[in-house]
Amino acid sequence: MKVSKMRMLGVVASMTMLGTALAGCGTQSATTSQGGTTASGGSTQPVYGGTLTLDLLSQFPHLDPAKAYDTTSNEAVEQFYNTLVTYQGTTNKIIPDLATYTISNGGKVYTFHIKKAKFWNGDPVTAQSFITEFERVLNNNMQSGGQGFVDPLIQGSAAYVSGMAKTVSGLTAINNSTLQITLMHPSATFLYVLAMPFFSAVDPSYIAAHSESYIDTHPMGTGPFELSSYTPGKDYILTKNPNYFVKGIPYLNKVVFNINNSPSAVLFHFEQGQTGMVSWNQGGIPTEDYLPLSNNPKYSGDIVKKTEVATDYFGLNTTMGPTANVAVRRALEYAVNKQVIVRILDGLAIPANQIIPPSMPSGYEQHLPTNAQYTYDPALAKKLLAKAGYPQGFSTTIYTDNSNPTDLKMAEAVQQMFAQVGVKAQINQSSWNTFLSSNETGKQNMFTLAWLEDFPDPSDFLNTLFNSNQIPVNNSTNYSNSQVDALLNQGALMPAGTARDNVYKQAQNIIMAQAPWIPLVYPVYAAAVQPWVKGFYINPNLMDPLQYMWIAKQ
Amino acid sequence: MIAYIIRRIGGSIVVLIGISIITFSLAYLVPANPARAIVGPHASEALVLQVEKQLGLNQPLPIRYVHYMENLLQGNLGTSYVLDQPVTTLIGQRAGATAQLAVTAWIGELLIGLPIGIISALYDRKAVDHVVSIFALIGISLPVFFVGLELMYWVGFRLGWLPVGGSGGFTFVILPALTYAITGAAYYARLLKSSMIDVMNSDYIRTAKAKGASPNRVILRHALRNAIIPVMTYGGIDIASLFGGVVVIEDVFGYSGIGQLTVQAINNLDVPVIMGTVLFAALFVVLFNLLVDVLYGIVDPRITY
Repeated sequence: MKVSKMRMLGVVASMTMLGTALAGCGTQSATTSQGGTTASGGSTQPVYGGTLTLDLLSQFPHLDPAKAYDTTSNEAVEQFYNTLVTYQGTTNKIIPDLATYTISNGGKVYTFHIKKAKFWNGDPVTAQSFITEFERVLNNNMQSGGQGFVDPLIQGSAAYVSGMAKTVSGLTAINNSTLQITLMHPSATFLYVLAMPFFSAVDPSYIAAHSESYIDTHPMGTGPFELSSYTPGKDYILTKNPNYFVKGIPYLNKVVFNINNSPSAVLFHFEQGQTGMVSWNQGGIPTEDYLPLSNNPKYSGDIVKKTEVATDYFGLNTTMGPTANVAVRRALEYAVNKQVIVRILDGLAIPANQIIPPSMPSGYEQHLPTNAQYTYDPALAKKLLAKAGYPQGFSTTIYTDNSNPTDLKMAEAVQQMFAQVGVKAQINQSSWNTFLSSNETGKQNMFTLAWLEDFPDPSDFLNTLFNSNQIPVNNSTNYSNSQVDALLNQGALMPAGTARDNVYKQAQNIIMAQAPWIPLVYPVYAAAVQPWVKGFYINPNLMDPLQYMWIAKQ
Repeated sequence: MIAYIIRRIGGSIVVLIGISIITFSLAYLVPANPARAIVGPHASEALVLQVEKQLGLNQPLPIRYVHYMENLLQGNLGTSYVLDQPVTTLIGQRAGATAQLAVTAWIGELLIGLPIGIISALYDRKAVDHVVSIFALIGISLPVFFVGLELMYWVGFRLGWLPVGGSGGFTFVILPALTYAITGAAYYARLLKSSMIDVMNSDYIRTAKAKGASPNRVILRHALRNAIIPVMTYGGIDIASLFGGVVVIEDVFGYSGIGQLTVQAINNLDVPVIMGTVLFAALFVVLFNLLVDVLYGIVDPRITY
C-alpha cells in the first residue's frame, strides 16, 4: 500500500502503513518453533508465564479486523483474531491457520476444512464465522480497506456490494466446518489475500448483538490473547487465552501495551529493561532512537533487521511537463545518487535499482537489461537532458509530505542532485493526507513516496502501480503502456510459477526502460529485542509473533 | 455584577461561534479528501464515493456547517473519521489527564515564580536580585523540550525517581508539569517584580509604612494585592491555554493529552476532532478570561461592574 517514505508519527503512521519487512539482509536473534522451524540461540526451552511490557505508539486505531488496515491496529488484531491461513515463521509460505484447504476446478474453487476452535465466549468457529466477516468487509457501510481485494474476485461479490444480492453466491457453508469459496477466475494471490487480518473469523452472534463501534473497541476473537482491559490514554492489557486452538501456546500470561509515543521515553524504557522490545508496537525503532541503540555496544546486539518488501521511490509524471518526454525521465535516472539517500536514513536502507525489492520472493531481477538500468552519472544526465531539448534544464516541483523528518531531507537531497544537472525544483511539502489527495489526482510533476506490499507477490507492485486502469489513484505518474497492461492482465490469471514470474519481469523491464519511477532505496525494518525476550522473529507479512514469544528472565 | 456576567457570557458565545466558523472553513479549505485515506488504495471509486457520502463530504460547506452546529447544540461533536469514535468520547478520555497536567503545571509556575518575583522586587538591583534574575532569564531562554529531556534523563532515567514517560497516575504528571513550571515561572516572576516595584513606590505604601505597619503586612496586605492584577491576567490566559493541551511537553513525555489528540487530528485532517479540540481549548480561554475579570472585582475594590 501507499506509504510515506519511512516510519511516521502517531496515527498517521498507523493509518498509512500496512506492515511488512522481509527476508533479505539482517540477523535474527531468535527463531521460532512455529510450524517446524526450530528455535536457536540462547535458552531454547520456552518458559511459560510472565508479562511482556511494551510501549505503544498510539491507541489502536481499530480492533475490528474489517476496519484495521494499518500496522498499529494489526499489531493488536493479529493477537485477537485468526484467519483461514497464515504465513509460516519468517517465510512467505502459506500454512493453515484456522483451516486446512484444497483447491479444485482449475484453481477457482477453494474448500476449507475448519479446525475445532472456540471464540473467547465459548461459541464455536464455523463456516459462517468467515462468511459473516466477508460480508462485513464487502459492505460499503463498513468502509473496509479489504473490499478491493475480494471484490470482484469472489463470485457474486459485485452483486452483493451493489445491493443486488442478499448473499455472496461464491461463499457457501457446505456444513458447519466446511467453507467453499468460488472465484471468478483462478488467482495466484488469493491465499495471500486470505492471510490478511481483514478475513478473520468473527462470531456472528456477537456481531449481531453489538454495534459496529462497540465491536471496534471490544474484540471477540479466537486469538492467543484476549483484551482484558483498556484504560484510554494509558494502556491495553492482554491476557492469555487458555483455550487457544493451537495447543501449547501462548507462553506469556500477559502483554501490557503502555501508550507512549515519545522516542526518548521509549529508548529509556528499553535501556532500563522496563520494556521487552521496540518493534511493531512502535512501527519499528523510532528514527531518533536507531543510532543511540545501534552505536551503543551494550544494545547493538539486540537489534534485529530485515529489508522490507517496500520501495521508496521518486515518481515522474509521464503526461505532464518536461517529464512527459521519456528521454527526460531517463536522463533524470542518472542524476540521483542513492547512497546519499541511504545515509539520510541512517543506513536503514539499501540502494534500489528496480521496482520490485530483493525481499520479494519472486519478480526481483539479479540482472536488468542494459536499457533498464542506470548508474549515478550526473555528466551523462546533463548530456541526455541537452539531447532531449533541455540544455539549460527546466523548473519543476517536487511534492512531499511531512510525516517524518527524513521525508523532507530526502526531497531536498534529490532537489540538490537535480540542481547539479540544471533542473531547478521547488519543494511542496504538506501533511500526509493533503499530499495523498493531491497525489491521487495524477497532477504532481514529481513526488517522493513509498509502496509497501500488501502481500508477497510482484502483482501487488506492478499491477497496482503501473496498470493504466489504476490511473491516477495508485498509478499517480499516469504511466500507460498497452504492452505492459497486456502482460499484467495476463499475469493476473496465470498460476504461480516461473512462467508467471517471467511475465512480471518482462513488464518491469519495459517500465524501467521508460522510467516513470526513480527507485531510491529499499527500506530496512529494525526492531530491538531484549536478550531475555525469546522467540521473536520477523515475518515479512505479519506483525509481532507475541504468541510464540517467552521471557527467559528468572 | 450579574448583568455584567450575563453580558460577558453572551459575548463569549459570539466568540465561540466565530472560532467555530473560522476553524471549520480552514479545515475544509485544505485540498484533501479523508475518504481515500480511510479505505486505502485498493478501494473502488464507488466505495470512496460512499464514504464521502457517509461523512457528508459531498454537501456544500455552509450546509455542512449548519449540520455541524445543529449536532453541536445537542452535545454531539461528531465522530472521528480516523478512529471511528465520538469526538466527545475522545476528548473526555484525555480531558482528565490534560486537566491534571494543566493544574499541576500552573501551580508549579506560581510556586516558583511568585516568590522569585517578590524577592527580586524587594531587593531590586541588589546582589540577590541579580542572581535571581539570571536564573529567571535562563528559565525563559531554555527550550521546553531541552528542559524536558534533561529532567527525563536525570530524574527519570538516571535516578529512577519518577516514570520517564507515558501516562497513568499522578507520578506521570510531575516531570511534564515541572518542565512547564521551570520554563514558565520566569514570566510570573518578571511580571510581578515590575508591578511590585511600581506599587512599592506609590504614595499609599509610603503612608502605610509611615503609619508603622510591619514590613510583612505592607508587602502582603497592601503591595501584593495591588501588584497581583497583571499577574492574574497573564495567569488566566496561561491556564486556559494549558487546558487546550501542551503539545511540545506532551510530545516529549509521550503524555496522552488533548495536545497530542489535536496534532494527530491535524495531520490526519480528521476535521471533527480538529473542531472538537479547538472549541474545547477556546471554551477554556473564554471561561478563564471571564473568571479573571470577575476576580479583578474581588481583589481590587476599585473595580466594579
